[in-house]
Amino acid sequence: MRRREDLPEDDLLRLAAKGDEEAFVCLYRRHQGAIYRYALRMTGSAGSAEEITQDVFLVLAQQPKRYDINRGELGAFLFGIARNLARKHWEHARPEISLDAEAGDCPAPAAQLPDSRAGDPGALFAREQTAALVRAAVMSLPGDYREVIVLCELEEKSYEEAAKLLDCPLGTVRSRVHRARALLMAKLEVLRGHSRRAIAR
Amino acid sequence: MRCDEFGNAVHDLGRFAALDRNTREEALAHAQSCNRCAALKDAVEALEANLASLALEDESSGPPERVEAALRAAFRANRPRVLRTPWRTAWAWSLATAAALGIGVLAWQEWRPAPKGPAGKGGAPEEANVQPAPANHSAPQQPAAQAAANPASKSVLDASGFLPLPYEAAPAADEQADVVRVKIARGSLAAFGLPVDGERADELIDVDFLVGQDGTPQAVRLRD
Repeated sequence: MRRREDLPEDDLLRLAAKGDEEAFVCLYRRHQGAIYRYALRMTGSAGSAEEITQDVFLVLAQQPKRYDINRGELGAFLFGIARNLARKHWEHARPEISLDAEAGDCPAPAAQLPDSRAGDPGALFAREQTAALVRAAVMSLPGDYREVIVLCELEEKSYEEAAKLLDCPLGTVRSRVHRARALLMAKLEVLRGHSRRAIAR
Repeated sequence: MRCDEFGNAVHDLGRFAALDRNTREEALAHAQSCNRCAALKDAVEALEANLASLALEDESSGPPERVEAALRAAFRANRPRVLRTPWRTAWAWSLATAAALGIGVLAWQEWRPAPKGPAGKGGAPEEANVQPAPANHSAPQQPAAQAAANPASKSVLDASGFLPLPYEAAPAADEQADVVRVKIARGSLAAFGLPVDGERADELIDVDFLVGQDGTPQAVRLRD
């Protein structure tokens, strides 16, 4: 008899619908990482990410019939729920920083951005600092731009995959990524204290 | 390639599937000839490195174990009833099955046909279309049977129209026999060693079997 961990998703869904708790937990463990990371990167808060992750899987536990296997993969279904919950979170969160904000308004410490490519013993610390600054810069983006950066840059999804998840044209995803990158470069340039600015499109 | 075109392509230089080979080569060549675009390319690469650093930082992050515990509790609370009390379901099914079996046994005992004469035993061909005729099969004392008590029973059988079956010995002098009337396919007579017209083999005919006490048909009489 195959272990539950080796079963395909539709078999696990069928078992879970019949009340098999371990089948449900298998589904949760397969998808919880991606959902949590998305929620963390969109909200910037571990607490909010935990809450969103739990709420997403509560839907699967309590309303399994909401998922229709004929309409797409389970991961996409769960992502849709997470996206809606994350949107509600950031719409109620404090206003995003203006694109024209000065360096002093940036929530991140106005420190020189360390070179994360350094090979010295402090590389780990430098990487952590870099991550914190970049996270702050990503959080400062408008919701639509933040979303494509999270999917295409941090989750490393292709433009096609992101377009499918976001239910928007591929060209829209591409142009948002380009614009979001330009904004991030501007923010990080400010953080670096450089005089020149990236070209924003 | 112009600088504005390079500005569009530079963000996809790191995505091999997003740019065709020609565009990629033109963009790289342009960056080597234009200082402004070369600086832009450096800035984009630095951003990509920073984003990769953030992605690496979050790679192993996940929700705490309390989330799984809470979800398990919610799942159990919402689990279909059939699995919550399996013993009840099994007990109900056992009772239903026992009741159905009991009813079936009683019905069979009540309505099963009374044991017929052994027309179905011995040499009666099982594959024949045997339909018991409504006429009697409980006449123990037919002329042919009475004649069976006569040592010259074979000749008496012949006289009564019964044809002794070839494989059977003549009935004993004091043997009681029953006459059993059945409807069979004409072709079934061949199983008793009797000649059959092949063209009429499927015809249903009424026949009387003289059945001995051991249940073996000993003679047959055509009613047609």
